[in-house]
Amino acid sequence: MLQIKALHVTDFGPFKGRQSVRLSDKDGVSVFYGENMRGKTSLLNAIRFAFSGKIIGRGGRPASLHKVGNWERVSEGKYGFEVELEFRHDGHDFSLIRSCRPRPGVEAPMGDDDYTVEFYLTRDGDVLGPPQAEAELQRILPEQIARFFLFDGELLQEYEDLLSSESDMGRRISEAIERILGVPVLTNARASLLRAKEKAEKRVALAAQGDQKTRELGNQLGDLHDQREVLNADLVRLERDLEVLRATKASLEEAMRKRERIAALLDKRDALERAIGDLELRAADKRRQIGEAMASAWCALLIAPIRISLAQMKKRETELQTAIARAEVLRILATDDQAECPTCLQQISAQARWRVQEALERQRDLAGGAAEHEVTALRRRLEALSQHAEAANPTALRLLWDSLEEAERDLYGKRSERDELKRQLEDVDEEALRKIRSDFESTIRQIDAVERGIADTRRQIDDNKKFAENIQRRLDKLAGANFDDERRRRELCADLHQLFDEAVRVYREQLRKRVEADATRHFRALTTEQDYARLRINDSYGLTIVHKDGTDVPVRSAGAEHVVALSLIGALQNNAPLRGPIIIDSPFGRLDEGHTTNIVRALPSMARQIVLLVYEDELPPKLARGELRGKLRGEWSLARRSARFTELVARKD
Amino acid sequence: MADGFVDDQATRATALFETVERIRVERFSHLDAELVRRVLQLHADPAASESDLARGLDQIIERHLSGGA
Repeated sequence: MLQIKALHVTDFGPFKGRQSVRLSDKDGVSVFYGENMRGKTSLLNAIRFAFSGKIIGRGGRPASLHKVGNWERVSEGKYGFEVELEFRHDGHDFSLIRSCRPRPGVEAPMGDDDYTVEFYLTRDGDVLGPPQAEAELQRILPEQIARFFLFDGELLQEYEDLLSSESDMGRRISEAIERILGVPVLTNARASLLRAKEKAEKRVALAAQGDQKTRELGNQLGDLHDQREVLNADLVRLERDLEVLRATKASLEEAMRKRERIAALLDKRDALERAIGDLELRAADKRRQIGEAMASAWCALLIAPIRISLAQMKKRETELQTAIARAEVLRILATDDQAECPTCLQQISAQARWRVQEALERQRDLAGGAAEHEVTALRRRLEALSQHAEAANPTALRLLWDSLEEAERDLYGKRSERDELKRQLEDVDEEALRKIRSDFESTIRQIDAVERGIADTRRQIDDNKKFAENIQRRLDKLAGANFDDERRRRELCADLHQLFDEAVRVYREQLRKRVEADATRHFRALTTEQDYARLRINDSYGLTIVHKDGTDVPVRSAGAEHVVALSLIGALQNNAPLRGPIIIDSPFGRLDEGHTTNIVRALPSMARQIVLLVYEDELPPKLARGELRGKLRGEWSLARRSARFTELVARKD
Repeated sequence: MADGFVDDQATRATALFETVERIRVERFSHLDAELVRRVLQLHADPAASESDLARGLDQIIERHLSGGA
């Protein structure tokens, strides 16, 4: 059990000079109140720095050490900082001092490379040598599991990734959970025993090579073991590569998630650019059509007289056509002896024919070429006037103008929107964002290739083992009792390996059940929603809320996510071999008063020592005192002395 | 002690030992309990390196085979 007794910070962030806080050695909650920019996150980072030498900035990225030193001190020409932690662990008192100072010879550091970080660890007053100190810190609080002791709301949000089996961040958290729960004790034992088993098998092969009767089989077995060693080495290398690539992918995923809004704005801007291009083309086309239409637009002014003329001409055309047709009939009747009247179908008499000829004579002009001529001319004029009448269609012209105006309105709107987006994106490094995306895609391709390589290597190792087992059986038959010692060693290692393999599976299952039960217990105490019955755990320790009707709650708010994550942390604290204080930065920012009250009330059951870094609106002192009562072990304020100087002051109100 | 806490590291480690011991009794009763406990204990040190573990395991197995434990 790790318990922090005191924290001393010197020139760390806004904490100018040496400032100290001594925490109660009794179980309970200590609260530090500070408004924004007063140094709550710096306090969390000070503890993190003491244990691991690292400082985490916004977005989970490592922060620059050069920027951590107190700014007022820096302006006085004094660089560097120091954190001292006094803590108790497993019955021993420790003092851990970690400092960051300019390298010898560097008077005005310019970056992280100009600093050197050193640490000293004493146990019960005895200074430990560097390797021993490193090992001791690794035992007390391994860096991989520090996230379960030192965290903020942002880190809690990452726990949602545990629900996705595809997420690399989820895989990393899941591994860290297994680490805090002690699973590596078993997995490491299993790995050591596998190596011991293979070594024992190799010893059998060597023994067989020394005997004439078994030499051939021994040689084959030896060769297979040599091959397997190479394959195992390949596998280890590939798995390390995969781990690095997955870590890269997780950090790129995280970087993309942080820039999600920016990426969305950039996508929107690009979509607007494309839409503006299309609209510009459409507007140009409309302008061309209007230009063509305007060439004959004058016709619209004459449309009324044109229509009158057209009507008159059509009437005249009809008259002429009738007259021409009539004249043609008369001509036939006048010239054809056998002609019949087209109306009564009677034979035409000579007298009638004579009258027809007379009538023809009277209509000579009309029936002659002059009428034909007039009709032809009339039709030409009709066609020309009709074209003008069509071109003079003001409705079509109006539609074209309307369409152009609409396109221009759209263009204006979209250009304004795009210009606004451009203003918002002025300081955005698009190249960096593009690089993140392209690196992400390239990393996925590399992961795919490495995973295929691993699968292939594993298949080769399996084949190799099958061959080796086969030869081993033949060797056992042939050798009789000759290699009994080596065979006993091999069988012992194989049995132990099998035992621990089974233990890993069983222990993981037990842990999942225990974590699920404890997380549910915490969750029911924390949530204000009475219809939520329990939490269900998946293989990666992701927790799903289950409604009292038995259905899963598919979508949860950031606040609910927060509550589930806290429930998981409480459950891990309950079940982990490594136990320590929970130090949380701004844990209630996303929560309503009901949840805040529930969490404050439940905190003492989640860990023995809890340190809260909060602002007063997030956790009003009255609420903390009312809910924690006897479990409230101390209150401090992060008091502003200047923009660059905060003082840690014990609260007396 | 706060409610719900398993009290100390030793108690928690016991849960691990008990799990392994139960499997040993059920399926690997021919394996020596003390041998299994030593293997587990060796790997309970988070600061141990791979070579430390390999060396320690060799010693445990050697001692067992020679009838030491």
